[in-house]
Amino acid sequence: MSSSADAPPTDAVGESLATGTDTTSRKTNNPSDTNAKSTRYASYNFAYLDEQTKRMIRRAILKAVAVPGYQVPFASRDMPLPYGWGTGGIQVTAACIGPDDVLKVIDQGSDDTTNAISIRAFFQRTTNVRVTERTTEATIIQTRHRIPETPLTEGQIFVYQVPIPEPLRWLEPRETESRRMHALADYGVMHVKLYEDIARFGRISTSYDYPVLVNERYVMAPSPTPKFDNPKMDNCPALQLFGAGREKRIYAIPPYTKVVPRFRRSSLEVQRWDDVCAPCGAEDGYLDEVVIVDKGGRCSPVQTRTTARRDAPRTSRAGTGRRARSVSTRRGGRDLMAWDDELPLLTVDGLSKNFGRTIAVDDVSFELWPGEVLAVVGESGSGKTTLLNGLGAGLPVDAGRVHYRKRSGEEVEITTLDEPARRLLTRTEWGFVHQNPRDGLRLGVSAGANIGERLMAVGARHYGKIRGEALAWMARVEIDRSRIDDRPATFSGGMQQRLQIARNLVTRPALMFMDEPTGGLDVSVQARLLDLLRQLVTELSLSVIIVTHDLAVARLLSHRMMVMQRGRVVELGLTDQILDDPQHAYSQLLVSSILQG
Amino acid sequence: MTHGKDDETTAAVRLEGIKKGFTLHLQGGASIPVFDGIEFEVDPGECVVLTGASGVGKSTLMKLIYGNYRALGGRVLIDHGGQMIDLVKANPRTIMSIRQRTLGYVSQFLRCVPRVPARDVVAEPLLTLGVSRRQARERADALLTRLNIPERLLNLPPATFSGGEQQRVNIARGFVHAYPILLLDEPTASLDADNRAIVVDLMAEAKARGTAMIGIFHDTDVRDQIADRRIALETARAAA
Repeated sequence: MSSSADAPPTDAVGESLATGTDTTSRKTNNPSDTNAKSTRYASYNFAYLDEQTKRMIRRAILKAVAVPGYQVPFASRDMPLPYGWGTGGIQVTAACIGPDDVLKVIDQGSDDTTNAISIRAFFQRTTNVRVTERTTEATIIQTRHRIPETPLTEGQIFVYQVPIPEPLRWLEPRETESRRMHALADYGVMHVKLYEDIARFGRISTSYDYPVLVNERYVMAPSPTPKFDNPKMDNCPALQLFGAGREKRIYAIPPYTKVVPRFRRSSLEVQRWDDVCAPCGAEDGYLDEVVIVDKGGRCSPVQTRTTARRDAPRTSRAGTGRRARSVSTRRGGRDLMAWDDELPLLTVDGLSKNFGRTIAVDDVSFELWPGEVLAVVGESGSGKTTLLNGLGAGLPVDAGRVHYRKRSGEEVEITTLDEPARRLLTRTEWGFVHQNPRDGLRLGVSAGANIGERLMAVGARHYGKIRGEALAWMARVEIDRSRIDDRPATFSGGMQQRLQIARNLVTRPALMFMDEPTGGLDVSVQARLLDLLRQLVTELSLSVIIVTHDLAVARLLSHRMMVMQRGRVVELGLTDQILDDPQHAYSQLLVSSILQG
Repeated sequence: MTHGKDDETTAAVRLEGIKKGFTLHLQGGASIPVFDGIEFEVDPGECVVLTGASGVGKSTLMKLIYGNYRALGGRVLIDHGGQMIDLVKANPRTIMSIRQRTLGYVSQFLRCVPRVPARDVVAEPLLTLGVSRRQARERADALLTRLNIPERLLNLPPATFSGGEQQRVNIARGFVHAYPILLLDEPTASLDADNRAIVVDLMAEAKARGTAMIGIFHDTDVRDQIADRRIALETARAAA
């Protein structure tokens, strides 16, 4: 091993890495060790792993130290014990340990459990190092869950065994997306977990593996360390290393690094009031914020009091209602010729996208105005979904420009917009409804959390208000309010689709992208959805680009229609013009193929 | 009839040299001419009735005036808030604006989102104009009641209604907003005498308000009561 190439960044690592593999020069400072044992295991390399593996792991460790909290992938080896018993920690320890080290192993705060004893024995036999039960004596401490009460000191290495290194794992199933979220520090979704806790237990119940923010950059899962041990990680003089064997990740907290809980205590609060209900004197419920003019004070309506914190105060809709109203007034007050003065919301200019030699979208241009619904129709493979993804889902395009006018009036160019800004836009001003609701929902968290996610992502922190909004939207999309704490996995396809729509609409987007939203639905649910969408388009001045196969849906919902064939727009015009008087041969074929009901 | 100067601002609708035909790409590009060179105008408060044998293109002409069909040549000028706008050349948004505020259309068949109650179907044109939901519903209810739709039906979707009831919902939808121009495609076709009389009253009131109307009525009774002028379409086609 070349020591100049792998220069250890800390004394602790340096101390243990600067060792050879010469087992004969090992100090036999453990009195319990016998010659019989060392000869028995002499065929193993020092610390079990071969030197190339150690080198690979040390490289991962160095990278992890250089980027605190970042999960470094490594080629985890098979160890002589099953995954879940500390294989990650053992590999990290084996890569760091030298003959002069003193090892301590803790499991669940104890040195005497089977796991702790067997890991200790493993290293005794393969390295012959001294072992101890005293924190102060140890140079390397491997742990599962607990951090010792005795303060760690400089020069010590503290190795955690980690089962699940990814703090976003239960929220975001896609590994690629999780990594992108880390890269962009896009951690709004973490609040969803807190919401779930409160919804289920009435408080933040996460008591272990409580996410922390390392060096003000990466959110890190501190393995199943109890929440009350987390403060010991902050500004710790020892080097802390985390090894996840099954998940093949190593990450680290270098000495004296800032580690704070990801959430302040108040970051998602269940608000309580000190005063009582003015008219009835109730103390045990939510207080509505509706001021009673003649008496003063606040009231707790019966339904919110009896259901305590499970249900939301009615105030939650006040803020957003006001916004919705002002939108509709503006629309209603629009004078006759104002149409001509208004600027388009979205301007697409020469958009093209190829997949290799296949042209998916070829030079598509159109404009979309506020409050307008544009249907995109065409046969399978005509590029409809690619177009939609290129506009609304960040799919890189090969040519063309897409200008979007934000609520603030500022115009942005979507294809060159940087990813964090694009994500913010998709969360605040846009919505995307996928054909398969499973692509657009978080199936692992409740319906309420699914609706609340976007609110929390844009800064909502009041639990009651989030829940109130969620309930209001569930009612709007006709999902039984009692299902708010159920996971969408238990919903029918139609309910999932409606939930997906509610989840998108909760932040009142200006622009919705919809990919066959009524595709797999039975006709009664489809009718409900169509009605809902039409209402929202009128009331919220929502603009929609909807991809659909169903020309009847397009006729009822859309103002304009775009017919696509082989990636090109063959006809674009008023929906009824195209359906009643199609000009292009392909449009005529499409219209003539409608089944007469 | 010679019109073409913009200083003649009295007409609400003016057609100039309208040419229409269909090209059927699926039948090897067969071309079906419908008419060529249609010219007439309708003043505010006037009701013009299109006559002619079945299949002569009366509904086609109505759809042309509504901007539903695209003319191959000529101009369809609509007085939209004091401006004469050519529907043939207008962009889709202008057409939408014209339909929202100026141009009403009562078709032969009702087409609406399933499951939406009749009162909301009727109220919808008002909602898009910015009228509050409550007000829009009140006006819809009043109009439907006048058209003898029983109150118990107001909250039901029209799909369950009889043909005559659906037709009356359709008429209510056309009359709920006082469009300056109304196109009526056989609105009284499936109505009994009483209801027909009510519709005739509605049309007379609209005329008195200054609404320009273009209609197709097979019912000679209604035609005689309401028509100020008749335009026979076969002559228009023969002239082409």
